[in-house]
Amino acid sequence: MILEHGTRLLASFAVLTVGGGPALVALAFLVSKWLGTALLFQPLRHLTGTAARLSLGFVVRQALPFALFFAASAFLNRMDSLVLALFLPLADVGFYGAATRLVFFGTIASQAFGLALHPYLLASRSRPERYHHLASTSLAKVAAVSFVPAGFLHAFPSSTLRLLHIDPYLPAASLIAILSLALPALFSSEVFFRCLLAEDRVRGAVRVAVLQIAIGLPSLVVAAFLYGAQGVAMASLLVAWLGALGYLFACQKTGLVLWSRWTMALAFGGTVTAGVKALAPSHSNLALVLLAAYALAAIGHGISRWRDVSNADELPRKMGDNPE
Amino acid sequence: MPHSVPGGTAALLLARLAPPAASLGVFYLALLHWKPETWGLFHLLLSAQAVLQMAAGLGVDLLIFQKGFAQPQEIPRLLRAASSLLLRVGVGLDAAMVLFVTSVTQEPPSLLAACFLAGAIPAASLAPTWRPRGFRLASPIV
Repeated sequence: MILEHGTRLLASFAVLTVGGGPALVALAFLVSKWLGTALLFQPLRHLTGTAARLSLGFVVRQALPFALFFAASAFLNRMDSLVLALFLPLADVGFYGAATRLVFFGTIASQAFGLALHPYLLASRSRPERYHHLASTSLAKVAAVSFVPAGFLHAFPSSTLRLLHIDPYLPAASLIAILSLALPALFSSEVFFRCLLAEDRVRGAVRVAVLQIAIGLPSLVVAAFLYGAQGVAMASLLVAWLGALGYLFACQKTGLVLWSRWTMALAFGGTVTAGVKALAPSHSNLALVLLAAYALAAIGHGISRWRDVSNADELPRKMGDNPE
Repeated sequence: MPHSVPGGTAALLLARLAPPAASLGVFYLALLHWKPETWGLFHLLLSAQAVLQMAAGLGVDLLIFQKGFAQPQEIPRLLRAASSLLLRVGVGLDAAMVLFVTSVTQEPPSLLAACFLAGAIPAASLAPTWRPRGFRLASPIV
């Protein structure tokens, strides 16, 4: 995987450096993609033993929900830009695209965290109390830490753009301020999703994604028509929080009790964000100090509690009723 | 530390974090140099391409499921063929988009190409790390 990405990256920078006409560009595409994909697909050559496992039950319970979930996720991630393009000129799409790239870059960290968390969840699955503690602790920490980028981007969107020397995109500042509030929901959704995977409940995730599309798509169309790019950003915010709540309820159905710690983390983070936002216009230095202090506290507390995950003696006992 | 962590957590984190971070660097270059209109066109085309590719991947998955019931021994070959087909479609779409955007904008084609390539990186990095045992789907690898 790393080699595949590295190949593409090297090719992109090589073309960027050397320059050239469209034909050279297309040729570079072909070569880099073929090289990268050859590396990526190498394991497929050794694919054996699949035939015995393909049963109707397997397809219906695991393979098909998984395929549907990723298809729905791809559409969810892109439908806002596609809807926006129906109603607004390309410049507005550009502002919105720049805002989403900047804001949602932070979610990569939560995906990496989810990736690292997944084997721990699987390993602790046989011990319900430890599993519950790991899930709730991870969720609370991720939700709390997510307010650090959210608070910064929400309070200082214009400063961020100026800091990056992309002043022509200053109209995107209001979009960044709105979209940044989706970060806590997206960070939390990653933990919820990993819990659903550990419980083998991919179908629950599919239902949430379908619900997001069913509610989000009409909302996006109406918002784009009435309020333009800011309306689309608000609708995207709604879709993100709807997804987080949907995942939460799907996890609750598996026996996990995550509501109380999650809301507590959101309350703390929301309070800090509101404070930073209120201080920012006239006391920007104080707001930054407050945000930095919160970041240190949240990260430090997360690390210290993470080390105690193995101690499951004082955990909630709610998982005892889980039929699985 | 659970024994089931495959390949080490650090390597997995690197594999997940490095590609989007690198692609963001290329996107940042584009933001520095491009007009918002060009960025909008680029963003729109990437979005459309991602949805089309995932729809094609889902279609291939369904086809494999259907064929797999009748001839399960053919599944590995079908998966390889589907991957190859999706790759060709993806490469064709990429090349067509580069030519199209180059022809309608005044931006340097090299930067456009780099950005389209970088756009493919996070899409590939989002390929799921969890799969049903012994089975690979076509859609996540486009």
